[in-house]
Amino acid sequence: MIRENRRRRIYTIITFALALVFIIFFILKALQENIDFYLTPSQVQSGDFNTERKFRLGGMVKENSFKNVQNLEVSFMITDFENEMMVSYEGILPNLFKENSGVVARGYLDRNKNIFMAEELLAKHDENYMPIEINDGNN
Amino acid sequence: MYKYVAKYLILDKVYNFCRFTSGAAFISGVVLLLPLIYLALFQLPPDFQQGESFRIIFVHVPSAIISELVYLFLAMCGFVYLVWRTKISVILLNAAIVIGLIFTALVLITGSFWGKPTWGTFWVWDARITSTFILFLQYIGLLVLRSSFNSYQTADQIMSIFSVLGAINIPIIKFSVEWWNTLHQGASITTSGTSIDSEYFYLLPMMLFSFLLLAYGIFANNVQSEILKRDRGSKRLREILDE
Repeated sequence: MIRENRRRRIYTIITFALALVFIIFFILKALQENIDFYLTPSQVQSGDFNTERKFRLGGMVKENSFKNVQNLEVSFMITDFENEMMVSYEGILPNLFKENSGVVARGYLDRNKNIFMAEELLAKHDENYMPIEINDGNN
Repeated sequence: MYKYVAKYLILDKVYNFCRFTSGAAFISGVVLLLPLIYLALFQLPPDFQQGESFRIIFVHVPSAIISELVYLFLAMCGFVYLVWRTKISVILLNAAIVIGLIFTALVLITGSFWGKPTWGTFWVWDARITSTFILFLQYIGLLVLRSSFNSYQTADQIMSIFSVLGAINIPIIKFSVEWWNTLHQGASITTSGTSIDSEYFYLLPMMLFSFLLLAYGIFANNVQSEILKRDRGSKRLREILDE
């Protein structure tokens, strides 16, 4: 049905496209650690990652772990439901920051106290959207 | 198959079709958009977590969908040109680049305005945002390629190759939130349903539809000027223009 020269061009394009897919796949695979925006507590504790310099730690704020130490200084636990880490932060909290909600903290790990000293805090919200009234009804 | 499609894609027929539909599509898009914006901004109740700021979703998500669809369209046009050497496919390709650029810019801008009140930052280099930014650069790259060559033939060939191979970024954008840890949340709309409440959800396809009308309106206009640029000498086209 398709003429011979056209068929050959289709094969050429497919070959090049597949080659590119493989190249990109291996590049992304090799860069996995760098592309990840944050490390989870499990990843940090596994020791497979460089945690000597600054990095980002992400996960959920553990329920009932939030403490207001003094003024703007707060501490809370970040958990991925397997492991958890203590975080200390001084500054203004993002609007959507609350317990049982996602958070990404940038800072460094204090090895002596085993506390993550956060310098910047970002809230990570989930993909659920619903009106306030309906949610009140559920609670 | 080729035979049946080709007879509708003769340049002067396409030109005529675009001439009759572009204005109407654009105007009906605007007319549809106005009440939808009113609904999105004033009628719908605020979200249980994000309050008022979630309303930007009704611009953000449809433009994201369109920005990716347009690139798939470019890749398809490029593929058809590379295999069948049809003039119409590069005309459509050229006309669609700007649409993709506009909507990608819109995604990035609305995304950062949404990010500031919710995440606490305008911009981070996470996988979703970076790959979308690369899509933006791809559209700019196509525009640069277009103006870099003196002959249409060279430009068409290279742009087609570029758009076919660049389509690999589309699945990367789509699955970036699953493959890597990102600040951007996961997909709300999946094959197994949606995590957006039905009170909000119905507005998204309507918004998408009106954006598509607007996009088509501009696109059809671009197609016309692209045809005129390349095919000014054709006799039947001149007859249409003289009417």
